[in-house]
Amino acid sequence: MDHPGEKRRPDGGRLTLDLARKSSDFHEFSPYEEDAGFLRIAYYRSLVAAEKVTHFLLPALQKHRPRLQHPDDLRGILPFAEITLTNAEKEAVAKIMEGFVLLRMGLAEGVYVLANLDNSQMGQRQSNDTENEFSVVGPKAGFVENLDTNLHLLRAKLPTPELIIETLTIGSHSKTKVAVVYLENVTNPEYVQTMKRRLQNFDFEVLYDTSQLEEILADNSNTLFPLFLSSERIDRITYAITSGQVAVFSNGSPYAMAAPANFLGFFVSPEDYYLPWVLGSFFRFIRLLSVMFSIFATPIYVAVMTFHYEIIPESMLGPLIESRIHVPFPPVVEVIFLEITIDLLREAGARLPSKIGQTLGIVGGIVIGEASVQAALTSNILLIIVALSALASFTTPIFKMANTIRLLRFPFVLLAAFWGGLGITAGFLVLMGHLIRLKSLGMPYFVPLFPFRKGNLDDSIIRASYQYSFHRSLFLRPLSAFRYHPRSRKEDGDVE
Amino acid sequence: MGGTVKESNQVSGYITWFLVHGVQTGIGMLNFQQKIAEGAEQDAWVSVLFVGACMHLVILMLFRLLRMAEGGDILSLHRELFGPVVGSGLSVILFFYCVLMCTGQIRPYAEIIHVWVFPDAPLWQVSFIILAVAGYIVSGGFRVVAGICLLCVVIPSLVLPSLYFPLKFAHWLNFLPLWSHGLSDYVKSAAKSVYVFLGPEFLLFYYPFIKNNAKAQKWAHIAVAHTTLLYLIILVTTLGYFNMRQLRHTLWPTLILSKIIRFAFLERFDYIYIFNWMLVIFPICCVSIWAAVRILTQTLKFSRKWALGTTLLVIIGMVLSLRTPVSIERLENVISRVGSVLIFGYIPLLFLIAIGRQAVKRSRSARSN
Repeated sequence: MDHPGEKRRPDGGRLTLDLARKSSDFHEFSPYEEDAGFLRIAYYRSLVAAEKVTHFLLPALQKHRPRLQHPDDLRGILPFAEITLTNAEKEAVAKIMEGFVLLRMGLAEGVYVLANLDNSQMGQRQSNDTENEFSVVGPKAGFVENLDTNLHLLRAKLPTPELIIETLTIGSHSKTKVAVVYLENVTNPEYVQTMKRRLQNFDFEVLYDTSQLEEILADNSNTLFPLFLSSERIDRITYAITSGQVAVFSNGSPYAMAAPANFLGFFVSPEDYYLPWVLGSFFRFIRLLSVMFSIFATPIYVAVMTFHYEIIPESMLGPLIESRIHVPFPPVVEVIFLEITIDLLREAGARLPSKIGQTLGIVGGIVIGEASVQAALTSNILLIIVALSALASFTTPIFKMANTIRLLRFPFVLLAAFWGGLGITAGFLVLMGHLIRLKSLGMPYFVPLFPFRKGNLDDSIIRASYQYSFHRSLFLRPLSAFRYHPRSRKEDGDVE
Repeated sequence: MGGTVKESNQVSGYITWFLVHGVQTGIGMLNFQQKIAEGAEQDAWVSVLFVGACMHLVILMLFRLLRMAEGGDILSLHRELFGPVVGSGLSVILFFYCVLMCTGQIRPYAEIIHVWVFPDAPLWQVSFIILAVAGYIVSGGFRVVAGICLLCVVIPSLVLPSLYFPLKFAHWLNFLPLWSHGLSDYVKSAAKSVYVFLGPEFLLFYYPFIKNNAKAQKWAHIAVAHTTLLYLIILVTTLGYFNMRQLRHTLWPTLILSKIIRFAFLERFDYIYIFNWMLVIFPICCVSIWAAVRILTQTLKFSRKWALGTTLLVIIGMVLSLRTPVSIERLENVISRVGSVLIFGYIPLLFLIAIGRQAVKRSRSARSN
């Protein structure tokens, strides 16, 4: 990329062979001992598959030595599919960095012949189980860190030429390949254009994960909410692409992201589609309910215990007071203490090695919970509420959204501590205003609730039967409205 | 000229329903029964129906009037009819109406919070919270305001079924004798009920922000019908539950109605009502602040940030200056009167002037042809 800032970075402009020769893993030699000047080979040993060099490249060069007169002849000689010729050193070096082998003939120094011998499969994990987005029913395979493998997995799921994959390179140091994937004749080209434009316009040093793209490309980066849907599940991303969303993969990341995303989409689990639609809808409803519970349960506790104890019936007041009678703190301190403890357990659980983590989580949770009630630091009713709302926040299938939901309760707890129910209502209004305000790739984030789209509620709030929800979500403005044509049993000529 | 509104800032036609209905329903719903029963007593529902019908005429007139305006809103209409100086002056007078409407919601709500929930909370805190939230929403533009209107109509509607509990205790004989009042009593009740029907006049400001706005008229009519029906349901419940003498001494009948509801886990259902009512007043607060900001930016060329700040400051100043319950009563009377004059006096007048101007234009162009 040529732009004014380039001079400040020593890497962008001077891609030369001399620079490459400084590395010890850069290998340069001639296959012909007697005539070393005739042909020279250069490559990075760390990027090229060594067995391809010894088994195919060198034998081919030895065998066809007499036929080799001109750089163009290499095309016919070398048994590799991807061979390119270029005159630019800079481009040649860029190719070498991708795992190409450079061949240069003594009689035509300026022509760089490049053959692809990369070993991109090396050092990749073999297992591709979904680790964070688990489902009981349905496929368990997820994406891995390798872009080619991921694109293969996707292609295998959607073997149609309409699936378009466009690749860009991002990162001045990492040169990460980023793939934009969409379905021709389904995805609205405007979204593809917007996505590509945002990707092209953005400059970064090292791209580690797709999630970074998510924050940088977002319409509003000062929001708690994830504006793009990232997932490691093949079925989920396939569904997103066939719905008319644009998917973005980046090499080195097991996560793909789909955009434009809407708020309710984050509470959809692929499993909903593998269960009978009544069950699927029920679980989706439970998930939405648990989001509400997780955000509002502890703030309501704080508001009621601090200001509005009148609303508790007499019969319930007894147990509540009993549980709090020895607690020396105001409710808000009690709640913040417990919530932070739970978050501490969650964070420790995520960082600890998996085997220790589980044990420590259980022991820590039980011991700390039990002991803090015994020590009268918290009331046990609050412990139940906090534990339940922590549990509820993990029902959200997308991890990023689950984190957002967890964090949201803290401002609400503080608002409740200051202004009781009034504060919670005010917080709710701000939250709603914020959600309505957000946009993902230019699409309103809160759709189909606002702008209200009645026809698309059957695959957002509930999961309607396949007999009815055969159309794509129209808020994604897809080019074709129908996924398939539902047929009734009668049409098929079934016997009643 | 305000210029045309970008399509990305426009909202669909059906949103008119929630904009009009949301702005009509407000804090007045908590005590309008007591006020309108002063005149026609148990027959007050006739007056509500009558005013509801009149509002349909107002909607009709508003849409006809706005179709004649070049820029689609009252600000451009004022400029067209009266020239830049007088037109802007008239628009700035409307700024005070918007501010008044917002104050008329926030101050009584703060009073209810004060009486029912937080006896010690200072007035400035309550009004500050409401205005801060409203300011945040308005700063998001008209789309966000419209979205809040939709949510703040749908969510409060969920508590409507709770009217079943007072209806269980309704004395239907309270409505008898039917139609036993004179015309002057009905008129008195009708005049009192105009206050809760105010709101469609804000169409004058947000009309250009509605897609296919000429076709949105049916949604405005649906909104007014919805409002009328809602008020009738609440009024009938109230009149059935209270007798006339009780009602006369009840300050917030709707809240008292909700007080009798009890659940195993919830003793005081009125708290739900009170906090829910913050949602109910929000469409008015947001739309009126939005309209006030638009007046300032369009006529006095304020920047949006300054206009919003000025509007919020003026409102909080007005709210804080109304210290006593008596002054709230006076404020409601003022709004009721100003609103009536605006809806039934100024808008028809403007309508006539616009029609006259159009006729003159037409005859002139006919003559020149």
